[in-house]
Amino acid sequence: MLIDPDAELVARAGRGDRAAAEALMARHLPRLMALARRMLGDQAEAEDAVQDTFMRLWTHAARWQPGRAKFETWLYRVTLNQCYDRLRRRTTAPLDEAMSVPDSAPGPAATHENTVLAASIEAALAELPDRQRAAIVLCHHQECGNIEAAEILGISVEALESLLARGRRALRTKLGYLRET
Amino acid sequence: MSVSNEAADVKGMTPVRLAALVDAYGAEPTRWPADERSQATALIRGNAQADVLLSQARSLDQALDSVVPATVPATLSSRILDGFDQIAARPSIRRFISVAANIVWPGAPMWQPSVALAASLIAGLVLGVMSPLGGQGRSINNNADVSVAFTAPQQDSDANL
Repeated sequence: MLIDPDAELVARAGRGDRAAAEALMARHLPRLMALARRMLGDQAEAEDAVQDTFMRLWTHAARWQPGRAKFETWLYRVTLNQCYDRLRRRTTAPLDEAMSVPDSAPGPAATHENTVLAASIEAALAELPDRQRAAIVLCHHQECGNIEAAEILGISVEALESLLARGRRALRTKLGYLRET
Repeated sequence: MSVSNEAADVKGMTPVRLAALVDAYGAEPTRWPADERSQATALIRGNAQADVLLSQARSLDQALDSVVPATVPATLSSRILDGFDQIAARPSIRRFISVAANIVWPGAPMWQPSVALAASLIAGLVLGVMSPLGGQGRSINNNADVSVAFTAPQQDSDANL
């Protein structure tokens, strides 16, 4: 049987135990924030998405049934859905905004180059279809295994590989200099 | 000997599948599916074509790594915990049941006390219906009452005559 490391904490949080809620938050907040930030490309929106995810968790914790699905997988799925909702509400293409990432701190040339590179990668990621971006963020940045990532996205491993391959090819095309290497 | 070991490892892995793995997961073997990793790693050893493939994938991996990690402001943590406090302060039947179930059956998932309660209810109902004392005893008494009720007036009338 699946042993979920979060099950006990979720049950306690469901009974109103604040210490359990804090422990759950400490365990998952950084990774959820990283996921939302990379999906949305915007710090404030990512914070809202993650806050709404935790509100859903607090609301549903009392009825959580361990064994059905891994808690972390469910949490990732809720966060991704929060991100998809926000992406759907956007009307303009985010490329120009992402390219103009503010760089007020005049650091060394190398730092500036890294910032520009990071901004161009973020912009290219932001231009990908949502599901391709989610697949790349989950497998590359969040370091999820292929089975876990497929479960979070609700697709087969084969479909995940297809999303990843198409996403990575699109990124290489967008970031032209990578085609030369 | 090492050649034969490698041949065994490579079994099932083809250049086409290796290219598909690198295309999807990048150049880092730790990101490849665990069940194919050793075969794929064995296939790339000394393979010049695979080196080119890996080199291209590595460039994109490094570019992806340069994305700035997200920060978690302290204000977000307090907002999230404020939300917990608000929800915990609301009266909730489900939370009440969860707390009660934990007192009766500590640590058990919610379905176990629920199933135990339902089972005891059903057992009580079944026992009540099937019990021989309840139904039969009462019907015999009823019959006796009825026979008395119908015979008593006749005896009375005879006596009056």
